[in-house]
Amino acid sequence: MNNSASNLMQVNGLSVSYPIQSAKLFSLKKQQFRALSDVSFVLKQGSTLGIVGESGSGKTTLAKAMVGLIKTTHGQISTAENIIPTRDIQFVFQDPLAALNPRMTVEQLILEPLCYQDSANLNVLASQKKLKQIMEQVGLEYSQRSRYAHEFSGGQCQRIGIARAMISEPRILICDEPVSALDVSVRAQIINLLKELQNRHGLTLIFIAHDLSLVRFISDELIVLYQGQIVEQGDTQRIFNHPGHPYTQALIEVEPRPDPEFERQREHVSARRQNQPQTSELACAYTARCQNRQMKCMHSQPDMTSLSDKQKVACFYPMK
Amino acid sequence: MPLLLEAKNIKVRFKTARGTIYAVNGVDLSLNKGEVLGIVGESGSGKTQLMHSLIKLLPDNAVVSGEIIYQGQNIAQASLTQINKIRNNEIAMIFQDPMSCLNPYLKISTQLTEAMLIDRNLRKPEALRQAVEMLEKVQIPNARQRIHSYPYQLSGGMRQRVMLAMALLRKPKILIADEPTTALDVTVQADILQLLKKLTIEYGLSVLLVTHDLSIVAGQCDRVMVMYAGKVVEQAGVDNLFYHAKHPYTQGLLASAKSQSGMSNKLISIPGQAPANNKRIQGCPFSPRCDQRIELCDKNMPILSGSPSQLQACHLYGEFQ
Repeated sequence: MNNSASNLMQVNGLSVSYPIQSAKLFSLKKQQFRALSDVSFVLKQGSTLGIVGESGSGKTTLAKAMVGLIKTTHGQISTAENIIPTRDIQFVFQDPLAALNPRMTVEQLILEPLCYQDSANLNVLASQKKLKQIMEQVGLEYSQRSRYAHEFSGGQCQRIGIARAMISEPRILICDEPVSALDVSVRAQIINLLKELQNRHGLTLIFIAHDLSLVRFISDELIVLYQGQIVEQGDTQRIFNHPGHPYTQALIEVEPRPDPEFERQREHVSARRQNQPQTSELACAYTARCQNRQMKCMHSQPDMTSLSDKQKVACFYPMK
Repeated sequence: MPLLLEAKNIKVRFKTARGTIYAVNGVDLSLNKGEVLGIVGESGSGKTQLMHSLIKLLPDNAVVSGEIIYQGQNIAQASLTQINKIRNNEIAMIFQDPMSCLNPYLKISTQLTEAMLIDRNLRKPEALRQAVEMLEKVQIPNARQRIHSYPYQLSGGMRQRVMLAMALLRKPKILIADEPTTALDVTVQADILQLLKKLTIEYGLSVLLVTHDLSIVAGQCDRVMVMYAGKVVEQAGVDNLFYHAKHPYTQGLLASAKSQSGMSNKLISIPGQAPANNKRIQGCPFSPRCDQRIELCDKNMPILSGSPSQLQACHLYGEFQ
């Protein structure tokens, strides 16, 4: 790792492409689908990075690339020297029940990651002590340790998933839509739990979501992805108060609010435009949906430009 | 508004190898013509089971009691032929996960026209024409070409539109929408909700909208029923519910929803979790999580009472059993 010691991970110009089957049966040329292009950011020790984008925007690809689960096409990911990915970077998944082996008890599930670590020669007593500690920290009762995942509610299962990730005492926790499958009333509990764990252990969090509603409470820095590209990045509060990219603006505006009066007044702006223009490959990816596109957007792609020292945006005509 | 569907004292139990599951514990429901009724509750609160009980979609081990009166007829004991007629022409349902409800082996054209070919004896070109027309109604671009795709070729939002088209092709009077947008992106959710609202008016539909998200209810419904542990805890017009919520559970849900949509700086949750549904509960099911609990709450189950415009099942507001 180069410069500052507080940087845990640095991602530079990361691109990921997948080969896809050509539409022509006997075509020799393999087509590539660009899942991510030219993504750069820095992950600071103890902070939370929010990654937001709709399905297909490449957010899970980015998370997988960070732990080395998929090969990158271009760019580098450099981590701090003392980081061992298998131990220090852990994952929390979207569907808690699908991520837990139905044949294993809670105890087995939570302790399993320890079996794959060098330092894992824990005796029974020590591992039980660890189990008890971690179960209490995530809000589970130690007495429930011999039950199976299906006996728990979705929120409880997510707590098991978090305990399983936390048992190896990671330094980076990647949460891939950890609350999307949960009830609204349970989401806040899980977010608060993640925050609590972060404060207690000095964790660095990466929080992936498809909407902005909860991201604002947990992340310090924010990345908004659209079709594999970063369209806006910077300080979360700053972006929320003054979104620079029309897509970020749309994401903020489109969220339903628990306020009937507000909803009745709302003017519906469709995310899709009815008459989508023919855009060339050179155009900005968001042109087709953009409410304030201009001629320039159809012919060239905007680079990331700084709006302030805390906010960067990829748009020719950022919002004021 | 004339009453279209009424359910009285619906109870749903499941007999399982590990004992009885008490899913719905005595719910009254009424739906007027042209009305959108929201049914809100956490997973396990019985909202989906209640909907399934209305059109007999429950599995064999379910024991259902209560009356279901549709247009003056009690359909609770209806035969399979009768209930099929109702499912075909009167009450349609769309589900949370459109992928698992569409047959992956069949083109959507086949799936859309199937019912018309069998039930209405239409010829294939005519059925196809009507299906394309309906796909255009649900705003699928290039419907004429898209109708020949397989479900996997469509995005999640498109699949939900196909489900909606399939439901509307039967010209139902009631549409049950069970978490129709939960699996979708926010931007797509907004489009689907807007579409649902437009078609509801256009077809004069009455809608039962099931969701766990109060924010969705705010923009869609005329009246709301809040369920907890298989019971209705509060029922009111949408404005009363959002601006004058009485039941502590509704208040908690609202505070949580408001905090999440940025209306406050702190993230609020309701502590604790819903009770297990494998035993009968003596008192108010919400009392262990309630911050306004009084002594009576653990002993007696409060009954739904109040004014016709707002009912709540809570001891803080008087009458009890």
